[in-house]
Amino acid sequence: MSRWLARLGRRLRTVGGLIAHFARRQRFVLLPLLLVLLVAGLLLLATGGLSYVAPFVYAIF
Amino acid sequence: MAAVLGISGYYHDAAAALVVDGRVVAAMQEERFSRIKNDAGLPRRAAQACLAAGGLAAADLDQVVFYEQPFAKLERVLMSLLRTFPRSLRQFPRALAAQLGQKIWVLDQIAEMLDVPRDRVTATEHHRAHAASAFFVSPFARAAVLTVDGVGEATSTALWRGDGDRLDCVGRIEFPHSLGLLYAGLTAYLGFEVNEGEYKVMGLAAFGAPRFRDEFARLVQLHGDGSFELGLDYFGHLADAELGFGPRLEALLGPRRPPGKPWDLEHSAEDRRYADIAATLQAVTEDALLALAREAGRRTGADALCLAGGVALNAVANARLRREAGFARVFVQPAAGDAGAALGAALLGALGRGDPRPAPLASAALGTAISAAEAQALAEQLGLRWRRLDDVPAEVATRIAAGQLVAFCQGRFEWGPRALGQRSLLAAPSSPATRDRINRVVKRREPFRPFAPAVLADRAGELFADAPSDLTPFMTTVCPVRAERAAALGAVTHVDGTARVQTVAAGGALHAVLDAVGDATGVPVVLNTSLNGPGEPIVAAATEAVAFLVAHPIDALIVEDLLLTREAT
Amino acid sequence: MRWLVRLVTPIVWRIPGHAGRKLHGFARAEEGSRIDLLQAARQTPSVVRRARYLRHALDETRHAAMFARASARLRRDDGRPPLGPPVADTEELFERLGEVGFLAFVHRGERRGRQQFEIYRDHFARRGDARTAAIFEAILADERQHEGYTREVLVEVAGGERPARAALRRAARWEAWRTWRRAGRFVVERLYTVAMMALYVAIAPLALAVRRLQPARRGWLPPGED
Repeated sequence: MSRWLARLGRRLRTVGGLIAHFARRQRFVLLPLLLVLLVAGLLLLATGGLSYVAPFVYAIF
Repeated sequence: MAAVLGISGYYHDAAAALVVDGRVVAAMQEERFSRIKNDAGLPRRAAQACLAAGGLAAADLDQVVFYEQPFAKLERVLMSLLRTFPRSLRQFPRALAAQLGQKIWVLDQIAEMLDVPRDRVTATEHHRAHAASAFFVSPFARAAVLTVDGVGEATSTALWRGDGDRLDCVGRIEFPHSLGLLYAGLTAYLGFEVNEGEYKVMGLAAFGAPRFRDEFARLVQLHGDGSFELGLDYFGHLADAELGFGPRLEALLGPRRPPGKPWDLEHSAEDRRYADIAATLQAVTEDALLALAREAGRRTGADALCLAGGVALNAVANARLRREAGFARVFVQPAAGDAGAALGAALLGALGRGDPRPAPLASAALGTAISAAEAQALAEQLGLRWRRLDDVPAEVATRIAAGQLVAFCQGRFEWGPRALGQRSLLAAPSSPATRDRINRVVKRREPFRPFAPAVLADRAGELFADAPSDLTPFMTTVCPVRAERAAALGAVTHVDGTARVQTVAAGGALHAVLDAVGDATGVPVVLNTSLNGPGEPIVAAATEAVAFLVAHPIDALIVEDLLLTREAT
Repeated sequence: MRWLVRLVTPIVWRIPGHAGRKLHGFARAEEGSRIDLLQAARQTPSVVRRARYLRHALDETRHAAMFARASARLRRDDGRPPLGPPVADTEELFERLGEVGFLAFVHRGERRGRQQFEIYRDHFARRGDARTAAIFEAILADERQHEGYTREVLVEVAGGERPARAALRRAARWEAWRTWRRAGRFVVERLYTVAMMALYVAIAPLALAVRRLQPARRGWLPPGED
């Protein structure tokens, strides 16, 4: 559980760093878009880690 | 004094490099361990192997440096997608998926992969990492540095002034104007795989003539100040690190060549036309690089040039730069592509912590060593024959002189895409039939692909013009074969009369082999190609070396002083 | 599972252009298997098993080449271009599952593959395509051998028949979870794509503004700017 929390903490700090980067670069107008994209990114993070090729598996369809 | 690990990954050719107290201890590509060609993940195994080579644990690292700034990269990807609205509709989800699902979290993932505190993991600018990878291991105290690749965060081309332990940028060109992506786009047009087929295009170019210059003038314009600009209308999506060719390019140059179709330059006029397109691409790329190099010289006043970035792997272009760019000396490190940026990242970290520049890179043998004992044990299980040799060079020379193909594995494997005698397949350099046999049944490559020679450094000038040089120890240039010696070098001379030469200095196993070959045949040259099957990374450990012997019709495998064959020796 | 394969085979393999694509997919699967077996060969502590995994990996190399050639031939017959060399990835099965889990997984995969290929061989033989049928027949000989040795080695490494069966059950559960995750990923990816395309359309004013006000820059830029 503590490892998971530490991981979450790191990710949140990364999000903060990302927002700060865009703010520093005066890309403020992109910030709302960035936040929406980050939400979309959560979907992908949740399902990530599976390669597209499955060894020892021959697709039936 | 510090221990710094550099990392490249998540695009193509993941790698790790370790610099300890200003010394390059190890540098390795992940593909050698994972056995996935151009592995595009994170170099977990390579990092572990580098630490093992340095006798360190991850906790001993002072810093880990990633070769690119992920936020700047996302920014550029996003801006590019917006700028190309609405054409980038289809690419929008995919390009952002890669960034958001994986790449922006890379520094966290590296910290978790190595189990080091997150604040020890930093990122450097991509082109600075490339520049560092070349300049700081070069033999030059001062140099101009030219970095050219597909794209880093947003830069595709940069000029640098290298002086002692400093690197200062003196100019840059931004994506989508990119020579690397131009070359990649045309590589795909010619039916080859991007990030793998560029060498094939370079080899194919020698079979054609650059008669499409008018058409290419619409694809890329060179300006008087050394810069260049792509004709963006001819290229497709400009989303991530891809530059697909668009319908207008096919209207200009004709339909693309279908991937995987066998080549027939002798009988197919269509294939000869594609060769002419390759030749034109090569010529135009060289012209652009020459203009950039001259501008680098003008801005820096340096008399030496270092090159890095994927385009620096174009050995034919490097030869032209050496001849015509106006520099006294030119250097390219053996892993000039993205893998090499891991080394640059480590060097930047080390120098930033006050460590001195390392000694000039004398050897590319920075991988893990091979075990003859492991090879012997495996050979016994597989029913192969083996015996220990008293005189390895003599055995190799005898077999090569008899026309045999000998796999040769010694010591630590090479850093970079070239085999330099650590994991090589050696053969006689004289017979074109040998070349054709290796291409057909071992490497299973296109028939127009040339093979390269290794030669004793102190006799290279007898056989090749422009050799030796700072470029030849790592096979990063081509040299004209002297006409009077061409008959002895038929298998390693390309159709245009050049060869991508490796000069081998005294000391080391390959030098001893060349000595023995020279004594036996009078010509101290071998055909030297990498030890790998088609689509596979170069062999690293004994397991893959023995697998290569079993799977391919070669005559012998030598691992250190152990000889293995399929039949009784 | 065999009933499903028998049911869909006559339909799926008849879809124009699909046979060549499927065989290319099989070539990729073989390539992926090869990579995982090479990793296993490197990582197993037993030199005897290293040799066996290596031989298995070399068989997969041959199978990948056979499927790739057959794919190119069928696509040529259909008037379509070849799909290029099969490029594979790894699931790092040996590290992820341990040697016992790896063997159980591979054994199940080889058994499943053998069953499928028997059906495909018969299908192509019935259709009069002797060449494609022969490819499956040739590969079947190896699949039977792989199925056999992996079971034998699993029993040895697991420490007996009962632990081996337990490992096979665990592998079956892991595969089911993996299949569920793949299905979930498939759905999520499509949802994501639709959502992103909708977002793309919604940001049209922003995109047009960026295009106009911040176009791509040409020529030399000063250092330190991105």
